[in-house]
Amino acid sequence: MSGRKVILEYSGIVTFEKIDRMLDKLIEMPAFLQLTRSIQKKLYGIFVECIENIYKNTGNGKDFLDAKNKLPYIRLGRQDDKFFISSGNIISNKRIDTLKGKLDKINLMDHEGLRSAYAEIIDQESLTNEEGAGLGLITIAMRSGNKIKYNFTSLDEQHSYYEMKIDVPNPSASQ
Amino acid sequence: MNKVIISPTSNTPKVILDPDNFIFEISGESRPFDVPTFYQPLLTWLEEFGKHLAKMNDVIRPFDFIFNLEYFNSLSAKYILDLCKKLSKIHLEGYPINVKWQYEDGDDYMLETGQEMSKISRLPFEYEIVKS
Repeated sequence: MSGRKVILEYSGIVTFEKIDRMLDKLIEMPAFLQLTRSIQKKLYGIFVECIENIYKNTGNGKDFLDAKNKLPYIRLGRQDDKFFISSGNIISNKRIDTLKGKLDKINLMDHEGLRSAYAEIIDQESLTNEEGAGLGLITIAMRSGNKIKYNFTSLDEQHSYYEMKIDVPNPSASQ
Repeated sequence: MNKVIISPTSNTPKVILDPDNFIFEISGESRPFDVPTFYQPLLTWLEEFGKHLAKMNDVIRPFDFIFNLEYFNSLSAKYILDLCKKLSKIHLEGYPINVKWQYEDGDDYMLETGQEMSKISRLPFEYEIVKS
């Protein structure tokens, strides 16, 4: 298979209810239903982590309304012999260095390293919000088996647009 | 001791904690709106269950605690591990609890997270492949 096909795409404010509706829609889409159960679970898991990431980053949409009206987005699709999930949202410039540090560290880890980091974080006594610990990003890397591609585009002195792209190999493409 | 029965929703799992019939199961999807608020009462219940067992004079026959989770988000993982730690404490006190960690064939992530939780909580799991 060649070319690029979008399976599900959304751009706009992300609320908890919106996440529910989006996931309900995803699991009923013919293009999703025809995938193997194993790929469905991988894509679903990564999609949820990405959309929850947007939800946490843009809390009630207040941030992006102040910053050039750049809406968050999430996209799930198929490109050539793999799937991809990409997302974007505004974040405060103050958070970029820490986030970039975590992404770079995660991208250097092999699968065993990711498992160890995962175990270490969930075992923390005081973990009430996993965002700070990067657990969602580790989960994405573990599920996809790939590096997390990312990009920050400056919008103004306070804000940037943060984008991620995760590729997921399609094992049936080689059959 | 009261039993806990929680019906599943699109973002919360089904929970059965039935001490009269020794049926214990958490199944479905876990990405609650407020993860700590969902899991804290279950953690408290398990703490009480440990005390309840200690007060019982009967011989406790081996019983299963089933995790059959289709999906859980990253913060839920922390609380599921906390449940496993409570179960491990009960197990260490000598009660014959058997944790069954069920996962779908090919769901490597679910298997691996179960293995990590078993290792951290020092509680042996029995892994079972289930159909979707």
